Amino acid sequence: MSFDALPFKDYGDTLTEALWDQVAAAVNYGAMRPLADSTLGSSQTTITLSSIDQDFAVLLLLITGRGAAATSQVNLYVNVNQDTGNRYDAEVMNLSSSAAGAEDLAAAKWTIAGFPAATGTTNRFGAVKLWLPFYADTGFHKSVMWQNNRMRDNTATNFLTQFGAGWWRDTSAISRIDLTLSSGDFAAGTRVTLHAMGSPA
Amino acid sequence: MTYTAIPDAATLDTFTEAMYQTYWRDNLNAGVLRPIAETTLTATATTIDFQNLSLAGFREIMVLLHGRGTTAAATTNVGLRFNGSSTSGDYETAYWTTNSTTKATLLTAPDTRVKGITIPAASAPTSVFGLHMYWITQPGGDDTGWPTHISYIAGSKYAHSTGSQYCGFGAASWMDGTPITRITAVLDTGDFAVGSRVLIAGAADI
Repeated sequence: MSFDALPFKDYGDTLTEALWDQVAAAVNYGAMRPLADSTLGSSQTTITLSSIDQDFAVLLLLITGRGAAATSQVNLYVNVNQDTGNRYDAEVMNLSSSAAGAEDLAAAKWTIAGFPAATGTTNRFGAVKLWLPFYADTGFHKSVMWQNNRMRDNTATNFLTQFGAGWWRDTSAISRIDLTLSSGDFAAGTRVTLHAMGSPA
Repeated sequence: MTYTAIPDAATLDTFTEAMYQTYWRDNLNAGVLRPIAETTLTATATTIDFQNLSLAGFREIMVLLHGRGTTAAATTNVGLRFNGSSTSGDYETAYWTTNSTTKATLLTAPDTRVKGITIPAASAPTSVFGLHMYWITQPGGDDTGWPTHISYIAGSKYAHSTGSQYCGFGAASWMDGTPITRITAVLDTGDFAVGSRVLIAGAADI
């Protein structure tokens, strides 16, 4: 299924089954739309998005989160397809400094953000946007990109924003995403939304 | 076109032609972010070219380029052109890129294309591709009189070794500013490899 631009229809035209199906395909598998949305009612160690529909071209994962561990900040990890082998690469640019990028080679996961945790400023959450283009293709290693903020408290030197690119050394289609933290659980109120967009006809 | 919120309807209301045009057709065709065009190469190609684009009404479009080159090197530079223009002076790009050792700020002006960062080429590890995500504001020329603005983020790698991975982001202008009807991805050297893929998507104003 894919997005096929809707035609002009005149007064008196009939809404046919074919036109309805075209609208349904455009809404369900064409335009960007939410696939999953979860807000934690209590703390939780892992957030899993499984059985991801393979009929889209692009995934966009939005995460607003906080850690429950007794520390000021925890790192957000991403694994796909339950792979914890050392097959994740990443390059991260810190936009708040002139320092060179941070590099991960053959890591066990992607590290895509730092979230405030229990001793961080109250009610402060971190935000990250992760793009997974062509996640269902099987012809190449997967490439992803993300942007985040890291503001665990109100100290100016702790205000960071980062941009990152990652690669997974596997050609498999991505059908599952697991989110974990470097320490402890996700705090209640952490929210994950998965969006998807299809291909044109 | 703009996005128009769909109103509540009551029992026995009639589904009219105007409702179809406004709430279904216009909202889906140009109101929400939706795919416009896509190409995946099944044979190597010098460019990935989209012609006869109709972008009037789109507030912003996204060009997602997942590519690899065939040239006998580790990397090749990728660029974007509009309406077939390769005139020096039509494009200006400022971009920032980093690997694990050096963070650099670069300005290319005047230039013959929107300059991206590199993508992997023939001697890079098998199956590794580079990724560029461009966002182009008012591509349909709805705000003529000033340059078209482009921003992008990108990632690329050419080996599984320290210092061989890059990420970057850039801002660019296409000085022409007329309606974009053609978008062409180009390389400095060689062809795009089989499997290189470009998706264009767009959304309208609210």
